Amino acid sequence: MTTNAGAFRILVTDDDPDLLFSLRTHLEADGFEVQAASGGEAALVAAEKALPHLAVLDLLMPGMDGFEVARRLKRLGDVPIIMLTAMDDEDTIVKGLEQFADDYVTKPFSYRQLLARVRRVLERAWPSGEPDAPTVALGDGLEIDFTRRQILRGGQPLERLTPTEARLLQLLARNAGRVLPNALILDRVWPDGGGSTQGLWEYVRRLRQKLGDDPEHPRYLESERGIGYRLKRP
Amino acid sequence: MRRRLRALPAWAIRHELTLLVLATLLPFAVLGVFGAQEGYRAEQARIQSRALRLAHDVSGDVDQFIADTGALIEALARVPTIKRAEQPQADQLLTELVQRYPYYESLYVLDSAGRVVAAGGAELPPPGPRQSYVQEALTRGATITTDPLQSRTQRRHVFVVATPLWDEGGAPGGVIAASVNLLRLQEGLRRADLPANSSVLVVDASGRVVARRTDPEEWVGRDALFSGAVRDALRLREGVSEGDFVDGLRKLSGFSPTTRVPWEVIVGIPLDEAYGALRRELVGALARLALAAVAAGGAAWLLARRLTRPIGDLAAAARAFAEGDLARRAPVSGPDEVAALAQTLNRMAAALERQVAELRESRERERIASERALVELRRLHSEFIAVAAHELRTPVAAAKSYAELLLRHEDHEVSLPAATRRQSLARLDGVCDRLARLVRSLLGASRIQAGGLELERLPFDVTPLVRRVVDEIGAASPGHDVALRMRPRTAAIAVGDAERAEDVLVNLLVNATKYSPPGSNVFVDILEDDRWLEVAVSDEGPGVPVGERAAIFERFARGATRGGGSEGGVGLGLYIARAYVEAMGGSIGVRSGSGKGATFWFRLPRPAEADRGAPAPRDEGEDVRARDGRRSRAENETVAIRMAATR
Repeated sequence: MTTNAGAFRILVTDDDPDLLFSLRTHLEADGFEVQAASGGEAALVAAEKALPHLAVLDLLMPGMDGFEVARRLKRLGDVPIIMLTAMDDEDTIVKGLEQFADDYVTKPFSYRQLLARVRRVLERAWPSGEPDAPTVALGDGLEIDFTRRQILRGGQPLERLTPTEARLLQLLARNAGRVLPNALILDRVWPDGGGSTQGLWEYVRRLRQKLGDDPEHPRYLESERGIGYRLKRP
Repeated sequence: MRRRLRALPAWAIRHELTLLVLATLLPFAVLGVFGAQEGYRAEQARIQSRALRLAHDVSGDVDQFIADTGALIEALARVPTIKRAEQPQADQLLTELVQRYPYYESLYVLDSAGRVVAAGGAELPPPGPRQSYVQEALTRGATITTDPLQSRTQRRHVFVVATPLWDEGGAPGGVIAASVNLLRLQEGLRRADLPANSSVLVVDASGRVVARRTDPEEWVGRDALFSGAVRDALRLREGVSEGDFVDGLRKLSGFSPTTRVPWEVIVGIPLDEAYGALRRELVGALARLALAAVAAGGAAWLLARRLTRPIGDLAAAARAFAEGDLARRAPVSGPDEVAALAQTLNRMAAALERQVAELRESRERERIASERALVELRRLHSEFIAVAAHELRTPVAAAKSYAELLLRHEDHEVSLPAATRRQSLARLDGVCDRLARLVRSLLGASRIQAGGLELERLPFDVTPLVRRVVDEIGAASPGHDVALRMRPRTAAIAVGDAERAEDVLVNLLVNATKYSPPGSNVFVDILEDDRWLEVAVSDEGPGVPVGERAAIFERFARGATRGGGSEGGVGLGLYIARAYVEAMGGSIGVRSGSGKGATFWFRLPRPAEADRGAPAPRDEGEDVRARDGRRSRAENETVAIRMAATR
């Protein structure tokens, strides 16, 4: 089992223990860090502990189905999702893809096929081919640990971040130095349409508060009036 | 059956009734005919006796005439003048008399030698003793009458009545005779009371015509024996007959002899005259009788028609019913009985119509129901295929995944520790077992779908089977502690199909592990009583709400807490489990576990109970058992489809 710092972390969820075990073995053999969950609840518990870079979700599971898991995962962070489905129903697939999934694989599938899709989705999200560093430095000794959703100063925890705050901050951090338009932010952070410009402004205010930023002359999180927000490069 | 009923036969009740009436009239008709015959005969006798009486009358007239003539000449014989032949007084007296009585041709006196000594009238008989009647009168000393004679000189037909003249000494001195002109006699025959066109004929004993009422000049003196009537008269002397008269016509003849002369008087009445009235009367009577019969028959016919028309209407209505016109009603009319029959028929038709309508309706309902069932069947069939394919996908994916993993290791693409490889192979083997079970379920399901789910009912020991399944599921679910908790001390023998029972238990156990949190316990108990052997699977999951317990065994049921997936693939195994258990004569259900969680159980009959073949009893308390009763075919289909969902 390889767990190097640069490995992508993949959450695999399937209620079939046999399939789950084999996928886990495959992915670990291919150098991924694998979080295996036999159900929706377990998957969310695992994601809460450490946000995965990619989730492979079985659509049909007892208790909580794949759509519901995806919905809750997206609340935790901007996690790309590949759906495993045993269904041929076009409507279901289209609905799932449009709302939550970045890709899907229909059972039965070959592992190579799944692997190819996993890699493509990861490349799209992380063009560098490397996962985000576990922490992002903002300067002045200020760091953000997205895995644990914490703000650190001098390596010491300063503030905890809510999932939405973390999601917002991660989006801005990945695009540090660039102005992100409000619409794009709303679309990515609140994928199921729950956001508003006013709400975004409120989140930004709270983030500045947690970062100890001055709203009038922000050092980290800048506003471009009428356009959007930008996280300054350190 | 719409065979057209035969129309009323030509021989109908109305004919019968008419005949009946006529038959009733028959005795009267016979009596009438007899009466008419009697009357006819009586009238005929009356007519004939009248003819005879007429003949008597006429012969009496003739006798009277002759007697009168005899009396006249006998009176003259006593007159002295005549006796002595004193001339001219004698001649004068005789001439006077002849003039007064024109039917006397002449009156004359003859002496014993036959010489005429006094005479009156035109025609005198030839004198002389040769006159036979002179001798006869003188010999007999009494008045005599001759047969008709023909006067040689004047060719007149006469007969002579003569009587002797006695002198003072009492000796015959001569004869006084009256020569009667036969033609003149006719005058005496013209009686007023004779029927019209009737003939009167007088013949002598030889059949010569003495007198005839009509055409005397032609007929007197002629031989009339050619006439049947004359022959009958001469033969019978007195009576009646029907035969040819002298004029060639058939007549009713009455004949009677005269007493003073050997003559026959014949009165002939033309048959038409004699019997015409009678015949007309008879014809009239018969005509009246016939008319009465016709009238009676006609009346009977009309009555019968009146009576039978309602019956005919009934028949027509019944025919219409038979041809399918159930809305048709028979008119309620005619005699009470027929009206009652019509009413009954109408009621029957109404009932029939109602029943046919109901039948049609129910047939329509059935048709719709069967159409719906067919649609449902097709839907279920395609659902079956979809579910089958769907359920096969995951294990196949897993199997393929292990094979790929091992292949990649062989190809040195990845490097797996020996333990992992061993585990992968074991899992691959387990997946194949699952696939095999799934395939068996699918086959069973398709058999249910074909309507031929027949399970073995053989005794088997449940305990080793349960132990094996518990081990298997326990190995496959490392997150749960699956254990056999209670079991009988002795062999737990149940009757059923061991493989299916295993499927049922696997289903219950997989559900238990799936729906209870990791780290919890799943216990299996084997319980028994006299009749049943129960296998109970208890978990520590959220349990099944009381309200949902019956429903989870129904089709498409998904517990809110159990199997709340977005699609029905989960938990449907309970359907198949129920189908199997019930096919083995057992029952299945769920109750609250001891603490939290749920206990799913199924019961199979023990050998004695299986022999008895009794259905499983209902459980008491909050125990919920799957619904009793035989499944419909559609439900079996559902079960078959759910079968595919068994894991």
